[in-house]
This record gives sequence, structure tokens and C-alpha cells, in this order.
Amino acid sequence: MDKIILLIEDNRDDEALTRRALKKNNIGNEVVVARDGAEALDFLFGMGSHAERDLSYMPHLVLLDLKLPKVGGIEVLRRMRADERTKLLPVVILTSSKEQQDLMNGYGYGANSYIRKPVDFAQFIEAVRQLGLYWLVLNETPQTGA
Amino acid sequence: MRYARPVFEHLKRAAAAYAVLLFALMLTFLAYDYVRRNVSEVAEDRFDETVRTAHDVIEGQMNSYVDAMLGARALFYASRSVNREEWRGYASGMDLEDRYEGMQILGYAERVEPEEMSAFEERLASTFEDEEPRNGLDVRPGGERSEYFPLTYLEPLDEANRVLIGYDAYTKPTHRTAMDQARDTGRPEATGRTFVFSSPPEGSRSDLALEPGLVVYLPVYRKGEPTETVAERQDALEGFVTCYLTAEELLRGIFEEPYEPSIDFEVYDDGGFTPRNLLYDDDGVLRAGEAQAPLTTIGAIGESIAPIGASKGPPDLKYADELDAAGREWSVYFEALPEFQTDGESHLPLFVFLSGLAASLALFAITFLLVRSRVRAERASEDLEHANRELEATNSELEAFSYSVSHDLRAPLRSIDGFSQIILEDYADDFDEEGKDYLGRVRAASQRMGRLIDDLLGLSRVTRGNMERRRVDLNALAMEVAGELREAKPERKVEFSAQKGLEVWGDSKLLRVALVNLIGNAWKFTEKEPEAKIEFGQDEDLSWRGHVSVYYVRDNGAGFEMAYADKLFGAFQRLHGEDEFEGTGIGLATVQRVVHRHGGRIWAEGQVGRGATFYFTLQPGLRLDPKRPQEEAMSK
Repeated sequence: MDKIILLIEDNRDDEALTRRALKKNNIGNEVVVARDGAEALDFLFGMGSHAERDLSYMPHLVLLDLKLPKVGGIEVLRRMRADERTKLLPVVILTSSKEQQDLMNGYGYGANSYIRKPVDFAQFIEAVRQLGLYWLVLNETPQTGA
Repeated sequence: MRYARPVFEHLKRAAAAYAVLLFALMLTFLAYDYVRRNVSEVAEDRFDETVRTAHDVIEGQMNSYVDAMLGARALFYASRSVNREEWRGYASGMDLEDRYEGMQILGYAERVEPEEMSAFEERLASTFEDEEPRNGLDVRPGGERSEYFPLTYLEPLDEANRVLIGYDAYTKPTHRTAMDQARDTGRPEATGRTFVFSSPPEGSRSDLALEPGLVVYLPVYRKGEPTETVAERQDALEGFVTCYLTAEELLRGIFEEPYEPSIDFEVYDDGGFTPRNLLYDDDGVLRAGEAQAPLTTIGAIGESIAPIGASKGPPDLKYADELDAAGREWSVYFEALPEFQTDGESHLPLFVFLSGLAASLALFAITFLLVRSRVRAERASEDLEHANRELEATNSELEAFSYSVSHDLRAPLRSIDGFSQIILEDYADDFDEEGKDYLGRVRAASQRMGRLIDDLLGLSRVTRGNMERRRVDLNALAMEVAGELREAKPERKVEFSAQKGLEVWGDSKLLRVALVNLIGNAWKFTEKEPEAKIEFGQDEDLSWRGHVSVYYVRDNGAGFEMAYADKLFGAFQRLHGEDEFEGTGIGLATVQRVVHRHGGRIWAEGQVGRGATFYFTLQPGLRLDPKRPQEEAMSK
């Protein structure tokens, strides 16, 4: 079964760059994109436009931006960690901010990693390579009931 | 209504002051009242004492006069008959004129039956044969009566009194009443107020003066006859010892010495306080008549209540008394004159009141000022709080702004850089070298802008946020920073030294930022130096002269021109070209902010090609002008 990557990102440029970086690093996993926090939660919990979704397919990795429309990234993270079904999903925060407060909140609510998107695209590709290698290949996740 | 609120506010704020005023006034009033009562009690005691003494003295005086009369009567009882010489002998023996000043006449009125009249007149004539009085020796007034009481002996027998020889006072109702009573009771009895001949006052042209006075009669009974019953006494009556008294001299004499002059006293004969009955008035102003009605409602006359501190004494010290004067009830009236209390003591309540009032007002003023300054301080602190809240609001706005800058401004840069890279990779064939160079410049520019944004954020981060001061080991911090720099560029050969034992009280995060920039700068500007030296420590000389620890970071790098020393710490100020040394020009501005937040100062000195030294302090109170030591240090 393919390991899905859930990319929660409102900026289409960033989405394109992220897809490019994944592709460059030969990470061919299916990427599901949510444009805001609300859509991400709908997808994760099978609500709204994703009501028909088969919830046994949970993403293998969630790439989470913090500054999102409707429902913010920290709130998405909090709700994920509060729900049995998503409590253990690896969440990597990918954001522009390196404000101390964002870092504290991110880890505080249970993010697995915090990566600041660098302006230099070459560095970004390198970062994506490492996190793909780590979270999709090296890291072992417990089998959830789903 | 418009003023009600401010007045209420004022009262609310100054409540404490008014309470103090009220309390102090209450105490003052109590003290005043207490002292006033005390003083008036003392005055009352003095008054009572005087009145009692006066009472006793009057009675005593009257008694002594009566004693003199009893002595005279004893003459009759001691010898068979008394003649004129014996009478005179008794009077001069008693020293009448000196010791009994009020006694005008001490006489004897013999009882004469009508049938004895001619024998009596003859006897009288023989007595006075040598010096016949002007009016003759007839018994006057004439006329037929059942009995006569002509004055037989008189002392002192002066010109004025001589007239009275043979005068029968029994014809006058006033005298008759007293005489009848005396006869019936056997006791001395005084007449009511009558007029008595006396020596005229000094300088008067008349021979005689009539003065208010009284006459006292003491019955003389025939020796050996029974006097148990009234009838027996009437029967046994032989005559009267008669005493003419002028009230003036009688009573003035009484009070001459110990008497309190500021108390008036008036003596009235039986029958109440009317001028008709007045026997004696000490000051010539009749008071008792006026005061008679209010004697029961004391204090209601004249000034009903003495105004506070009035110079007049309280008018309520009055006393009416009755005393027995030779069988008559005299009324004596005493009244304290205004002067009674004005001497010394009566000023005490006023003094207490005024000083209490002054103290109360002073206390009020002090409390009021204290309250006012507290209110002002409260207002000031309210203002400050308000300003603080505004500042906090501004700060959180700034925070939000910085967050947006950090997040949103970088996103487009990532796009510019990212897509330029993608173009270079995917469409490399479509560009010649020049086109690729341009795209490279686009990427470099966007990355530089990324750094600028980061540095600006860093600058604003050291400004906002709370300071958390604790003990910080600057030496350890500097070594740590140098270690990181060495790690980043392991190929560089730099001799770094940091003085040990430099502990300060400050915010370690901020101080780290400062050292990262200062040591980072030194690291950067010694890039072209084959034997780079960076030194961190405390300048002993400047610390001693400035009274505050002065730290420095010194390098032997590119240095700078002192003319531009002031520009070093401005944001975006650069003294070197971008191609020469990279940098955003924000680092030193950030350091300066860190230093300022600690209350310190920062300055620099340098020379082109011979390195630079940055001095800074981390507490207020530097007693040096950073510009001057700069020059001094330069010349060293």
C-alpha cells in the first residue's frame, strides 16, 4: 500500500516547490494537498468533502505549514493529537517562521520535527531529501488499528 | 448638579483629611470644655468661698456691734444708775470711733411716763447745764403720749449728734416697730432702712448728712423685775440702748481688707431687692434688682451665653443670701464682675481652644497634602499603567507584524529562488551564459534579502520581549561563540583569547546575540589577516576611571576610519563594500540595542588596516565621556 503524504499548504508556489523537491529526491509517494486547516481536518477525519473517504488510508507523513487560512496549523496539530486515529501520525512542521514561540508551540503540541523552509531552494531540496529518507524510509511507525 | 460630582470626588479623596480635622476639632472642643469647666469651677469655688466669708464677716460684724450694745446695757445692770460721764467713759473705753466705724451713735433712750416728764426734763437740763444744745433739751416731738423714749445719752456727742438729745424716735413707725419688738423679745432689734445723721463728707458745706442706715434697739429692763413673759417685759422696760449705724461705714468696714474687689455685693433690708431697701452697694450699680427675676434662671440675662474667649467673665456667678442682722432678715446679693475672671485663668480656655484649633488645622493641612500627593501619585501610576498598556498593545502589534514579515515576506523569496533554480535546471539549454548569470543574480539577491529579513527580525527581537536577568559568565559565552565560528570555518587560523572571571548580571540570550555579532564581526574583518587575533576582556583602566566595568572586543583586522565611528551603530550602515565583506549592516545596531537595554554604553575605536576595538558597559552610571577616552586611548 502506498504511503500517502499529506501536505497542508495554502501557498501554491510552495506546493509546487515541495512536489519538485520530493520528485528531485525520487520520493514518489502519493501527495494529498489540503489548502487550509479545515480541509486537512476533513480529510483526516472523513468529514465535509472527504466524507466518503476510506479512513483506513491514513497518511504516512504529514507536512504541516503553520500559517493557514481558516484553521491554523497549531490547531490542526492539537486536534490530530487529541484524536486516537491520528495521535501517532508523524507530523513535520514546514514553515517560514523560526519565531521561538512557534517552535515551542509546535513541539509542545506534539510535532515530530520542525523545519524552517530556507530561501535557498538548494537547501530546501536537501532538507526534503533528509526528511523523506528519515520519515518514509528509516523511521518505523507502530501499526495502528486502522 | 454639575458640581456635585467633583465635590463628591473631592470629599471621597479627602475623607481622611476631613476625618482628622473632625477628630482634632472634637479633641480641641473636649479639651476646651474641660479647661473651661475647670476654670469656671475654680472661679465658682473662689466665688463661693468669698461669699461664705462675706456672709460670716457681716454676721460677725453685726454681732460685735451688738456686743458693744450689750456692754452698754451691762452698765445699767451693774450700777444703780448711769450718768452721762459714765456713758461717755464706756464709749471711749470701747474705742467706739475707731473700732466701730459704722456706729454713728451709741445712745440711751430712757422710758419716760407722762407724769415723769417734767422731772426728766429737769434732770436732763441739769446734766447739760454747762452746754445746752441748740434745740434746747425739750423732749421732741411734743404732744401727749402714753410713754416717751427721749434720747438721754449720746456718744460721740458731737455737734451733729447733740441735736438728737431729747428726740423721741418712738414716734416714728420704723423705730417704733423695732423698739416694740425689742421690748417684747428682749433681744436687739434693728429698724428697717432709715436715714441716719452722719458727719458730712469731706468738703461738703452742710453740717449734717443723711445716709441710709439703721438703728438697733436693745431693751434695758429694771433690775430685779421678772422678764419671763412679754407682759412682764413690757412692764419692766426701762429704756433702750440705741445704736445708729450707717450701712456704708458698717459694711465697707467689713470688706476692706480681704474682700475680692471684682465681686460686687449689695445688702438690702428685709423686703427684697428694691432700691428702697438698699442698705449698701459696693460699686454703686444696682444689680440685684435686675437679677432678681433671673436668679432662678441663671445665665439668661444680658449675654445669655458667654461667647468663646470673651473678655467678660461669665455673668452667671451670682448669689443671693439672707442673713440675720440684729433680728432682721437682710438680703445680700453677690455678683462676679466681668474682671473677676479676666486675670490669667480665664484666658486658659481661649488659649487651649486657639492652639487646639491651630493644631487641628495644621493636621488637616498635612493630611490633606499627603492625601493629595497620594492621589497625584495614584494618577501618575494610572497614567503610567495606561501608557504601559498602550506600549504592550503596540508591542503585540509589532509582534504580529514581525511574524508576518518573517512568514509572508520570505515566501515570495522562496518562490523567486526556487523557480529560478528550476528554470536553470530544466531549461538550461534555452539560456546562454549571460542569461544563466542573470538568473544566478536573481537567486543571490533573493537570498540576500532573506538574510536581511532574518537580521531585521533579530534586531526587533532584541528590542521586544522581556529581559530575564541572571548571572552570566561572559567568558564562557565568548568561548562558545568563538567555538561556533571556528566550527563554521575550520580552515581559518584565528588566535582567540577571552579573559576569565567576567561575570555580569544580564539577559544571557541578549548578551549572546551581542557577542555573536561583536566576535562575528571581528572574525569577519580579520578574514584577510594571515595571523588573526581576537581578544575579549575587561579594560582595567577605563573601568577604574569610569566606575563601571568596561568590556572590549579587539581585533587586528581591517579596522575603520574614526571619522565614521558614529555611523557604525546605525542600522544598514556599512563602512565596507558588499564585495569586500559581506553583511547586512544590522549587526552593530543589534549590539547597541542589547547594550542599551542593559543600561550600558557602546563605542568603538579603530584605524584602517590596524584593527578595531569595541567597548561596552552593561550597567548605567559610566563616569566617562565615551568620546574622550576614545581619543585618549587612541593616543596611547
